[in-house]
Amino acid sequence: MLNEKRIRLMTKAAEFEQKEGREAFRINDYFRGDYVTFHMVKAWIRGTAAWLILAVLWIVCRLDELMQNLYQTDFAELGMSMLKWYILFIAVYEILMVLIYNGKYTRTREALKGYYVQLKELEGLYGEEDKRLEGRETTGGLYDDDNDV
Amino acid sequence: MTMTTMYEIREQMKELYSRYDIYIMTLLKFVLGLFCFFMINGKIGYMEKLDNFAVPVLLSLLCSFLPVNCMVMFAALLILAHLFALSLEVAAVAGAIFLVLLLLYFVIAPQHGYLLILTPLLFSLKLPYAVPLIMGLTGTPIVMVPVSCGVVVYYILHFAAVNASAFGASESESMGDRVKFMIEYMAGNKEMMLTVFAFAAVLCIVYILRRMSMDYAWQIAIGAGALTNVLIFLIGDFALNISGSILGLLLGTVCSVAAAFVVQFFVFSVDYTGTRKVQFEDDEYYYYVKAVPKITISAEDKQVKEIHSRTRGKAKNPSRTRKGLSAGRPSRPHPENRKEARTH
Repeated sequence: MLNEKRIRLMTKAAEFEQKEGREAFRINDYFRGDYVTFHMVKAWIRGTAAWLILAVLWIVCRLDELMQNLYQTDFAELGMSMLKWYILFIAVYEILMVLIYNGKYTRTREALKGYYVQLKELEGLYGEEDKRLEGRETTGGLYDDDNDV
Repeated sequence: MTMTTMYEIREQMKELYSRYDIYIMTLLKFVLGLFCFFMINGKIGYMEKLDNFAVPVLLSLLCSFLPVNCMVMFAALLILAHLFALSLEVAAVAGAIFLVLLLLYFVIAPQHGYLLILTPLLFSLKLPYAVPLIMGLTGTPIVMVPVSCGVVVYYILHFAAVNASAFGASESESMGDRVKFMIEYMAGNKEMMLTVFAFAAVLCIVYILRRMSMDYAWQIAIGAGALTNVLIFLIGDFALNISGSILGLLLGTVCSVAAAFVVQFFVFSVDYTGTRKVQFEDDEYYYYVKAVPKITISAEDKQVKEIHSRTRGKAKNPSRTRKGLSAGRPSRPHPENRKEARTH
């Protein structure tokens, strides 16, 4: 039997599932710490690749200078300096990632809570209907609200 | 134009959007694509095969049916193709910068990808200051990252447009010199740094002020944002010795403020919800639901001929959400009642 309130709830739930739901269910498979750590690792790989590109550009830019002073250049110092910049760059990027993905996890959990409340309400409506229809076969005939939508 | 007329226009726009949202979004993407691709061709159209009327139109048509981020990808490829025709080194450096932007930012928040197109576009239309003002009103502080990326993209285009003759003439220059020239321009561009800083500051100020619980928060936010914009650029221009046009800055800011007010009027407290279609099933039925937003009647449409007392049955008014089913009580009076009203 069609129930208007139930259809409305199901529509809302289906909308959520179609839009943000897909990603929300995926995120919900993780614990908060695992989710944030997983993205920190991904961010570290991406950050390192981006830093390497920037380092190559810098080296190309300074290539003539480096070649001219090849024997005077202290490569250990240069390497340490680049490492310092790399650590600073990655640290800032990772802090940003922690803030972003921690916030995203919180928002997703809140959205899912709303979705589960809807599901619970829906379950309640089904329960009510089952209760109402109990014993119909034995009593027979129509109920007062059978002609409702 | 009175405020009532503007409110009516807003309601009509909302109604129009709720009915034809798919077509409107497609059209908007097409227009954005046209502006974007013609802007790129107009500014750096060095590859003759791509610098014609057909390519931007075809790309825009294609992008109108694809997500906005596809437009960003096509725009990046078009820029790289033109830069490649100008100089391999410039294209390589621009490609490396795009790759860094992709790795650091685009993977994390692709939903703001359109800002990478809009920011350079508004720079070309001499309205760049509208970006931080409008995004501060409608977005969150995180959008300062895509806006900054958009600024960097604009300065790559600007560099290629300004130095085209230098790259064409300097055949004797080595590859390293050309790369060095571009990297030094990008890394040492004070104007670009100042713009990024000013946009980030304006965006944050507008965002903080418009969220404060005070009267006219949005208007105050726009005013304060515009003032901050002018002050930062003026002080920055003097401090960093950048030759910027003060008149251009003031005019651009005034136009941007006007654009921000228009956006504030049409966005604030208006929910542009389009028609949505969902399908689901339970144990008994398959449901194909089309959720149509309720339509509010504008003042012009309301014609009260005679007031009737409410019947008992009609007094029931169950609370419904915007996403309610089309089977809900209609906002307009029942056709029979309207007919009755006319005959009186």
